[in-house]
Amino acid sequence: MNEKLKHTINFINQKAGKNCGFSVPQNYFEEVEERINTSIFIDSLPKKKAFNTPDDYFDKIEAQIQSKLETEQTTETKVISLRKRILQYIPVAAAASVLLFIGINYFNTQKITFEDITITDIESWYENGYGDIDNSELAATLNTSELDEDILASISDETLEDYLNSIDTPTLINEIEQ
Amino acid sequence: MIDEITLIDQLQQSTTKEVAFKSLVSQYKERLYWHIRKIVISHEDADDVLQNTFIKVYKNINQFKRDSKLFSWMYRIATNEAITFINKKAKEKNIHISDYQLQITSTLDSDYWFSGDEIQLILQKAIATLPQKQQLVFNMKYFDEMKYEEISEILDTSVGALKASYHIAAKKIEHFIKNYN
Repeated sequence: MNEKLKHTINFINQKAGKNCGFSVPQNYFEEVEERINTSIFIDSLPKKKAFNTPDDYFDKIEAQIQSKLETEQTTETKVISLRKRILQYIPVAAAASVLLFIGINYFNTQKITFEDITITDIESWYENGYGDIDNSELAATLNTSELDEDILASISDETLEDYLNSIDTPTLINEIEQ
Repeated sequence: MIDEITLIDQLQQSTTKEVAFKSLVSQYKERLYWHIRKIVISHEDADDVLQNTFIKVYKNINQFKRDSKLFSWMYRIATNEAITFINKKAKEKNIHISDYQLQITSTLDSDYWFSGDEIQLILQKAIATLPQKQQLVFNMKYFDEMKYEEISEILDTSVGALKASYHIAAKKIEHFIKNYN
């Protein structure tokens, strides 16, 4: 008889007239051999450390982690405080906007006219730099039809002469060409 | 050494947090480092990931619900940090993570912080060819000699699936080494 068959549990049980009732997955006994061989091979491989670290690495790492943590916490505090500050202003800004809206729509019913603007208003407007406007900008806002004869007649010959003397020749030539 | 429950209590209270954290780093720095190192391979990268892991542990300790061991929870953070790190590196190089791992192990013999012999080098190359999960299972079981129950808690995978994974990994490594020129 085949020696291998002689040593199987099934054969022994058959001879002894026993059936234990347990069973195994299909191909288990073929696979278990392979598993054992793989385990023996893997266990024969070196397990010792092949990777190294600088000598004092584990002594220094604690301090490094601590310092990184402190840096992160400082950054986080800064970000939070800025956020908090902005959040603090949001209700104030919202309230101000509402008041402004109400003010403009309900209380400011009177239309502003040129008569309401005082000389002081115009002076402070200029002082604040709003009146700085160059010649080309000024020219763009006016057209020739607005310059009626009365305005031209109101300029005296002396004023005109002073003006012509005050500007340099190239500027004058440019203006004539335009 | 303080027992785990006391350490967690101290870590979750603002008055004792700082001191307890120092003790935590001191206790677990080496184990976590070696776990990370086997994933990211280079010392410099392992150093970065280890520091990030502890910072994350510090910041999130109040979210630790005690439904696993503290060590398992930290191991999970370290694993995620390490995998995220190599994923990012692979993306920077515009290659797949598996190619990136093959690339870093191919230059391992010139790495100053690697002193393994030829068979250790081949073993690392063989591990690098495995899918990520099999690499983790193999490293944790073979090198760290962790129990399947512990690995199961960290990787959130059943013990049966882990055993199958380890066996497949071992078979592939055996095949790789036996056929290595």
